[in-house]
Amino acid sequence: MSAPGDRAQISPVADGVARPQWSVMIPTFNCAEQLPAALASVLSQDPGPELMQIEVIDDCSADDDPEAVVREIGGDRITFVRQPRNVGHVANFATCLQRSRGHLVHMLHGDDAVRDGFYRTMQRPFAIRPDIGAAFCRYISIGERGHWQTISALEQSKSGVLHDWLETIAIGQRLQPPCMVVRREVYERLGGFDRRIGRYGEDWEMWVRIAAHYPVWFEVEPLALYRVGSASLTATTTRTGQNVEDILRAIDVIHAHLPPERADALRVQAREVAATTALRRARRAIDSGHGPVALAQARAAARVSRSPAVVRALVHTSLRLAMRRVGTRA
Amino acid sequence: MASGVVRPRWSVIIPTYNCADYLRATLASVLEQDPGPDAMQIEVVDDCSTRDDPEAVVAELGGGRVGFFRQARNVGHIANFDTGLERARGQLVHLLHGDDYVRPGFYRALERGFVNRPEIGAAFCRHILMDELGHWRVISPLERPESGVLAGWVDRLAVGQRLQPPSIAVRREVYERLGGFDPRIRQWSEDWEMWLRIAAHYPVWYEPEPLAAYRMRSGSLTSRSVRDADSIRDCCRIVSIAQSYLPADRYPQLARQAREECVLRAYRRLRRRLADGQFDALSGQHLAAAVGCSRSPRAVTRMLLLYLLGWRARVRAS
Repeated sequence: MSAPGDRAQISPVADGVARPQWSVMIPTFNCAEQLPAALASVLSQDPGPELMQIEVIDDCSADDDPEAVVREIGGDRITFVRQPRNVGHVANFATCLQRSRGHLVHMLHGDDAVRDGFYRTMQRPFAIRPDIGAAFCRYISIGERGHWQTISALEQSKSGVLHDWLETIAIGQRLQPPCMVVRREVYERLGGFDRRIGRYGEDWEMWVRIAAHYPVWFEVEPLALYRVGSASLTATTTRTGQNVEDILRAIDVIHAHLPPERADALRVQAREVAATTALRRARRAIDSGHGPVALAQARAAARVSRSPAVVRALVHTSLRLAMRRVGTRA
Repeated sequence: MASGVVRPRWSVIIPTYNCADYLRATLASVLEQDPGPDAMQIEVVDDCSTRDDPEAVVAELGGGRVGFFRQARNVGHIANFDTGLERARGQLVHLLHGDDYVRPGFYRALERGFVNRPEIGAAFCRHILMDELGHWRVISPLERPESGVLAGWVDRLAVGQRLQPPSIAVRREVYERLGGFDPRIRQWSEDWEMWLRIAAHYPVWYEPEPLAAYRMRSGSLTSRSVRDADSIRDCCRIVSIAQSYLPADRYPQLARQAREECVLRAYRRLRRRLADGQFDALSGQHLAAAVGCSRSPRAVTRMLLLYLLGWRARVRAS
């Protein structure tokens, strides 16, 4: 069970404070280089300060100066807030949510962006279906230099409220932050991102928690851009397998949100998805010559799930790893 | 081109056959970036559609701006493309199928290639694969991060198709010199052969922005298995045709890889179909066509594996 301290409390906006329709909250940490694209993508569809709050919340970046970027691109249209010390991304997200005043909250990480029409399109479902807690669109993954790479799954062929969404999102992360819009009221009721989850998966847990309490809308157009860092494969957490441990923690937290009669079965599936994803990462690591990463991910996968599909993939991955080793020795 | 004819910069030739519903988006995407009749010819060339009325769509959206030509009888898509090329008056020809479309900036971006490097024969951009409803599904691979002339392009393209028709523009002069689509190819991949022929004779420009959208159409289920075997044969035929213009010293190696790729592509398609439970899609025809095309260990083992999987699926189902 969760304790009150596990999540930041998001208080309702005080009476008398002007409430725009939108709050675009942009958390940043050492990503000033990509920030111009993020800000420009929002400003090009800015409906004005009465309808949209735009704030950059910096987690005390050490390597660059996001404030200068905000001033240059946003003038005084964009509010800039800096944490007095580095508080970590989950606490920084909480600050974003607490500072938001709008009815709809869009958390746009400083290295992601939106495409034209995002706000116009994503506002519509909340008018059509006031009962939804959140709406998300498809997203396009982009490389470090902004080139488009892949387009996320088509959850259904028409925009609308998703059926059985809780069961789908509960078994694996399918979304990235820039594609998601949430009513502020939902955060007020359910709280902020969960602190117990380490480096990965706090957003996933949030989307599952929302799905457990509200209908969720899917928009077919890919209107968000999510940046894939090339460093992720060599990050410390990936080398040690800690990333898989984080996902396991998220799976356990998620268990409490699920209908009791389905929770155990969904956890088994979620662990299988986590293992399969780790093995896919391992094979990518083999292909790019990162043997130790592949080994760590394969080991983690073996701990997480022993389903027949995982065992098959594990054998396949181990063979490839062994062949690659023989190959490099020869 | 006869002298005295006014020649615009662009010819956008739009071949159609029973796709009037999709044609609206196609025409709208071109008209949105129309630089005017002096700079761009726009013409729909219809292969005698039977189920719909493309002329009405052209009249409605084009309002006299878009030309319309109808074949007297159905001539097949390859002959219809050739008619389109004949009718093109511009210096740069864009063959935009009536169910595809371009994204804003397509003509500007590709024209830049022809202006910067007048010696190129063609320029193409990345493309987006969309489904029948128009939902984007896949983005074609990034050949290189900047726009410019591609190095080693003919070798890469020789091994397998990498682009789709809406993404490429060709100088009309190139078609005048190299001819139209090859009539020896019956059904599939005639475009691949054309782009390969161009790549063997001219430098080719690349634009990394995905500015064209290509529609994947599944067609009817029953016709698929026959088509797959045919597509292996056509693919293999193209590899033989390309011998006359690919560099002789590299041809044996490239042909070996390309023939293997013909089979591996069919394998991946059939494997997906099998996973979807359509195991009647597999027949002895495929095996025959595959063995006739490539006997590389990879190709042979994959096809045998597929055959075993198909057999197992059928036994389980019965």
